Amino acid sequence: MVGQEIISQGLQLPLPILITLLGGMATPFIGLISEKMRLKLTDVWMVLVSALSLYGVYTLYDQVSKMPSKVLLIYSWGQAPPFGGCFEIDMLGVYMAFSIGLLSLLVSVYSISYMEHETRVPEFNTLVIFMVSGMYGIVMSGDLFTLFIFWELMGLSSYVLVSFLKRKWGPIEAGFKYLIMSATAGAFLLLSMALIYGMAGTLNFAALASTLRGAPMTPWTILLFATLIVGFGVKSAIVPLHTWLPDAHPEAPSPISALLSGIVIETGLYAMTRVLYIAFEPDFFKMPIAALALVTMTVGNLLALRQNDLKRMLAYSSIGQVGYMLIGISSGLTYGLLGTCLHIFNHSLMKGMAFLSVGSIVHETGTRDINKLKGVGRMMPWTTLSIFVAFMGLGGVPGTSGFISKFILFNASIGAGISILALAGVLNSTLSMAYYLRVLIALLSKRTEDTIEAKEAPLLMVGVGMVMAVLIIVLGFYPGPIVGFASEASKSLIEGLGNYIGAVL
Amino acid sequence: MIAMFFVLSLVLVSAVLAVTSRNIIYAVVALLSTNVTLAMAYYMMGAPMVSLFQLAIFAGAVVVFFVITVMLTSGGDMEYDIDPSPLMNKKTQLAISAIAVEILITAALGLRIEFPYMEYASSTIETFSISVGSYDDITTAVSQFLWQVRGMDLIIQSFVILTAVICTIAMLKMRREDK
Amino acid sequence: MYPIDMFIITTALLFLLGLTALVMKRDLVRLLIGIEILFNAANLLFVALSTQTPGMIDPFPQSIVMMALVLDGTVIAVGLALALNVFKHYKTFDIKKLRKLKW
Repeated sequence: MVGQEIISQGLQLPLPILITLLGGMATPFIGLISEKMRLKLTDVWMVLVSALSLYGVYTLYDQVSKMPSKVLLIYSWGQAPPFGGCFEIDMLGVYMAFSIGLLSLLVSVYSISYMEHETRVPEFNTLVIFMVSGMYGIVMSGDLFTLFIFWELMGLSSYVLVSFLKRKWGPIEAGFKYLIMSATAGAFLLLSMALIYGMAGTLNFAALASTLRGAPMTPWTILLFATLIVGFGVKSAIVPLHTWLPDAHPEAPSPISALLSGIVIETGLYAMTRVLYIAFEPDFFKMPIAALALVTMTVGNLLALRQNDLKRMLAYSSIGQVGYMLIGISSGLTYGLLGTCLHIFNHSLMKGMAFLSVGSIVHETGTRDINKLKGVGRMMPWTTLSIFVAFMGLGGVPGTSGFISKFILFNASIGAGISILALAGVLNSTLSMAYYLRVLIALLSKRTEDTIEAKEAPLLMVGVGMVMAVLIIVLGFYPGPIVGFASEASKSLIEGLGNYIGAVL
Repeated sequence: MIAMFFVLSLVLVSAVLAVTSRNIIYAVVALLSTNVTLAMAYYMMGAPMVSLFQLAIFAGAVVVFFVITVMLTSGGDMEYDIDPSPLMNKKTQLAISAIAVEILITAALGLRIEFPYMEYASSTIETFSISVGSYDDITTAVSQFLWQVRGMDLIIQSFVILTAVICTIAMLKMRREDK
Repeated sequence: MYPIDMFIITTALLFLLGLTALVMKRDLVRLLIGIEILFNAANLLFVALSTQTPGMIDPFPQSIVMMALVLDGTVIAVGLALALNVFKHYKTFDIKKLRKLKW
């Protein structure tokens, strides 16, 4: 009978997902206990869960590198993979899970002191744990509908986390706009799943890679491609579907801005890359994605120039960085994907650190306006130092890890034959240094009478910023381990496709 | 076939009314009627479990949420509408619905849309199709399939529902410091 | 049983209706009505695919639709919670009046 089969063979999930799901389920109860005892247990619990899940990622890395085919397939009781939901973890999944785990651990430590005087903190911690769990599920899933379920899990928590500080009007408007656009994209995703099922009879990635992959360009496949781009593009902030981002990222609380800009956008980009490389040949989507990359880069960087709001400028800069990552995806080569993976990791560290440090400034002074913050840098030296390192990395100055990933990306675009992307990329990098330097000059200039008094931020916030700054500089001079990891990851998507299919069929 | 045309046209007409009604209560009732007629269409297509879920979730829970939100906030005075567009009177609504139904009928009678059904399906993967018996067979087979083949997704979906509950609590909780 | 043409046309028309509602309407609740129509259209296409083989029923799309229905319901519920918050602050649902965040 069905009931006996469930109990006897059991449910198997990858370790990070299991840890975060169970941890998130336990957090409301811990919140109840901590309210009675007047302690802040949920913050510590969130850090503990993030650290344990990072350890889970490490065990996964061990398991995956020991397998001869470098692909790990996990499915539960009696569910045959061509039809059942499964988790198929290759090196790219482990790489993305590592980025997610690292950033979520750092942000959890930061948000202990950021959310100290806020209400509803247990709900905040629960939702952060569930959002991270959704992200783990997306990067490890091997089936389109499993990806959709975790996509909705990540999305639901992020809608409410954006509009968490609901005393002011801004977050609520931003959260509602984000919800409307993201729910529409979810409907487009469902439509694309219906089209894929109608054409190929399965929703499993490995089975799709063996049947739908070489399909000629017919109107139906073009429609499928368009709905996939719209469905994944809203979350990845591709122009012209990016309009929720400049409102949502500034208005969210700063740790959530760091998580959103740092890793949620990149997870959406990962999902798009995975589905595109599985369902289509690279020649199919090289030109459209290259065009999107060009437009995204230019629009993001140009619109960041006219911003006076510090976090809004960083949000537009995120859109520009997504454009760089799209360059690597459009190249269709392993080298291009190496650049994209490396840039995803670097961007999560650098943009995360930028948002966290700017969050310290906002927490101390209460304003985000650049004109009012002239000279604040002299009163908060450590924070300004971490902002300096972050901006140097984002602009691609040699000596930080950002330079290496940008170099690889532009090199790969020349190698793929679309040299205009490299030219546009270099121009955009110089453009971005313009607005980064503007902020630094404003922070370090002499104080005017508008400037608000500020003292240095609390120890935890500054400490996290320092740790990330050290990581960025060390990786800039010794990029060996991370480049090796990223190259294994990028190889597994293109050259390891045979192993990916072979694990299931 | 004629019955299915009729039901699909009802779905389209209700959807047009839901989008174009000036009174928001009428729009919510039209949304309810869209979901109910869609559930009837699902039943006629041979998907009784899906029809059940559609009635229970969409036409039950979600429409009740809409009615609560609208009534508690501004729809209490029945004439409330902030889209006072002079075009959307009854004649325009009827015209748009008539055009939609006409497109439906002409397309289904004349135009043949060649959907590449299972064109790229691999012949080595066995399918799970079951033969059409009574609706009892379909119900049993679909529910068995759901638990045996897609059970893990169902369990993860329960976490999504838990997240949605916590989201709603986080949004609507009021403390003294929030005022 | 039924040819798929009329289902594809209905899906396309419902999609267009939902997108029109999202683009042209100013009331927050109407935006959510538009999203619900979009979700219904996608589910209709899925269920229509399960009836294509003559004489057989394919249970796979029906299982997917059952789970997708639950997910869509939760998204709309959270959207309504956000809309209630909007109303609590500003006593109106109009997005044109409340548009504070510009370029």
